[in-house]
Amino acid sequence: MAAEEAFDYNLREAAIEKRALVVDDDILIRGDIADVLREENWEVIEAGTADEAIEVLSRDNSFNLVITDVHMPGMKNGLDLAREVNERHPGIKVAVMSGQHLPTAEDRAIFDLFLLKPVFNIASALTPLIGDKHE
Amino acid sequence: MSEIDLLETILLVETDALQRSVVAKYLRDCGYRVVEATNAAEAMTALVHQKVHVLVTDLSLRDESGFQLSAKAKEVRPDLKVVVTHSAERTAKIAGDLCEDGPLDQPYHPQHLVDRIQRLKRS
Repeated sequence: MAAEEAFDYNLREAAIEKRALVVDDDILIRGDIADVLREENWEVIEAGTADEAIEVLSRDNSFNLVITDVHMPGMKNGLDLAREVNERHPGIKVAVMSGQHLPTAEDRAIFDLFLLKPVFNIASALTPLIGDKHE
Repeated sequence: MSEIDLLETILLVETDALQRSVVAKYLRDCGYRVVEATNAAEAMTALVHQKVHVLVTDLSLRDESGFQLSAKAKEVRPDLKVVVTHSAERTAKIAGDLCEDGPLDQPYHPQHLVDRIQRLKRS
């Protein structure tokens, strides 16, 4: 019925696209990043907190990439999320963004890429992780 | 779908990220621009900073109800079209007053939402 049809629709579309989980509590920043990735033919799921992202990943881990802010409301922050993805979903690449938190060497072991906010060109910034579409 | 205005922006407020993404993707495929909000506070931020034509909100949000959000949104943007979605029938009359066309029952097929938005545009 309705809900099943909706999720069938999602799965069918997901099969032909790269998928990213974008996590930021700032709707304007999150939306901008998500829109740019969608223009690059990514399917993007948006989450407003690390807790929400972890809940998403518990139900659906078919992502190529997680992009997360560090400081967000909730029980866990972006580094906790990165650590969880690193441990439980090692096939998913993780980019961590922050304008306040500079990662330590220990932090860097749990994610693939650090982006200093503000990120003016997210598509270009992610090239080390996802490659250049023009290559 | 040819009559859909490509510049129409829908603010979709839904707590469940996967359900929100399914509906949002469907609406984008129909030609709408969709802004996704996870709660009422985010929705109000989006309403202040972005041109939104239609607000589609779940009734049960984490920070406040969809009705509260609808009322606040209408204060900021009196011309805003609003759709509240929920299954509880007792909310139907209130939702009808607020939302012009009554609530959608959940779970709903995304096409029903598109149909509803089309009717709102014609109203």
